[in-house]
Amino acid sequence: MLEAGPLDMFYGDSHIIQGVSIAVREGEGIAILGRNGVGKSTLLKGLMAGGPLVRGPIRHEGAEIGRLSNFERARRGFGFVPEDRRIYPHLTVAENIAMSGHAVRAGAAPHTLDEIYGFFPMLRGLSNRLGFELSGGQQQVLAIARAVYARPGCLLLDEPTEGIAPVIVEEIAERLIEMRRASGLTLILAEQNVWFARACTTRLYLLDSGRVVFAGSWPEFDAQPELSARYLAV
Amino acid sequence: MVDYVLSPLFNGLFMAMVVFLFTTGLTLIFGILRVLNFAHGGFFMIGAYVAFSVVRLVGGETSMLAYLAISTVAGIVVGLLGLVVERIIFRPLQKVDEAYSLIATYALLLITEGAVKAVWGVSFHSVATPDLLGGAVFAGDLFMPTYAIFIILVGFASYALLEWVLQHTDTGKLMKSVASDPWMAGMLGVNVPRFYTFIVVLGFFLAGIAGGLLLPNQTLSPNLASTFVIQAFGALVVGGMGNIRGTFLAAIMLCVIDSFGSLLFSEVPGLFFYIAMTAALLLRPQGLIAGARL
Repeated sequence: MLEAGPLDMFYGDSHIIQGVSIAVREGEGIAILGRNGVGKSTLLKGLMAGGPLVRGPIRHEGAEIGRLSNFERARRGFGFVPEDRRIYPHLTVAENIAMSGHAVRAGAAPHTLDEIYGFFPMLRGLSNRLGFELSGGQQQVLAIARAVYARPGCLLLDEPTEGIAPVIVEEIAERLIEMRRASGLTLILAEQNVWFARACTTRLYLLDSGRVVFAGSWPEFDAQPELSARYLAV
Repeated sequence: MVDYVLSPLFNGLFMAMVVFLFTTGLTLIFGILRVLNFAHGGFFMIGAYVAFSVVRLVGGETSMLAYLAISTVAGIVVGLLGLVVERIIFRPLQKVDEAYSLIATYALLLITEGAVKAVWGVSFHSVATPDLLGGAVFAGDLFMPTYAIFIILVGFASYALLEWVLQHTDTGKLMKSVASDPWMAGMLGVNVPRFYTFIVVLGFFLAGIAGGLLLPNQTLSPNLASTFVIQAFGALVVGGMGNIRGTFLAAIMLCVIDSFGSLLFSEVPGLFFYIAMTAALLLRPQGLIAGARL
């Protein structure tokens, strides 16, 4: 559904992403793995027209979308959860979720709040709580729920496990796996947590200094243990 | 009591509402787009001139209804100018440093002054207050012009309306959301550029309607653009840079203090506005209502 690259991305004079190509099929889950600072966030933001200057083709369902602005990409069915979550502090949980109603594709309807609370039961009791009153883990779940509300075809998650309690990380993984199975959701996941990435995806791209140093399935990745030692170990 | 308390309080409140009505559009645009529109006074002035021309056109004497209708027409005309200004000036400014917006909008202010001179000339004009607002009310010894009472009521009503829209309607919540994080709003599918256009048109509409409403109180000349600029920026800054509630409270605080100060130290009228502004910024540099956008 999405074929991008070779892509180059820049912030000012910094050449962050250098010749990266990624592709993801409908309903597939891919992980972008790598240490801090290798360009995972930049890559996701570039795919969403969210900051870096991007050179290179980005094709979605056969159409070139590289010139579309962020809201137009959102309305084509891309749901983005940034690493800093960006929950609106002055809006309630329910209002935060409904914000992505603007991204509903033409002719489609968003989920109901009740469906969303069915996917993410921990939010149900928080419905009228304001954004700034939530814990980090609750904000993360809310950020995902907000993206899911618009029924995106493809969800882009930027390090959803960072700073989150393990029990919530497991909960998020279960929800994502379930949603992928139930609705054929496509997933692009930037992560450092290998356990989480493996649970949610079938393939991975390993990034180092803005370049892809490995692309393949999880078994292929496991067959080369030096990759993990060289590019992921702290 | 009347001379030293009620009368300056009333006058201060009147001036505060004049300043608030002048500043709402400025606050809205700064709060959401972070563009400090130096030309705001110019468009307020154009609103006043447009209202003046319409008054001339319909024959001088105006009823209350005509006065309100004419002010609305002035708002619409200036709102449409806002549409043009947003496209050719504000939109490119979004991509550059905030300092450029000062230069660009200052240039725009000069253009509005030049345009007013070209269209309406440099001579002074004035317009009569509508009959209904021409009188005065005495409460004991307190003298209150009906027009001033009307402006105070309009000021409070405008504040209440804006506050209600911002806090309780979907549009208001969207305004606050786009103001606090436009990037995320875009990611969630909000057409932020179009929303900005809407805000600029609304801000200019408010400038134009204020020009019409305050016309009976003003002498029309190309200097009108800068008449309230200092007070407006004072209220905007002391209020907390771009929120309606802060601007409203700051306008009241600064103008009432100035009113008392000008009474007690009549040889330096207007000085206390600056003293109050300086004191407020020393005590609360972040503004009366800090942190909140709008």
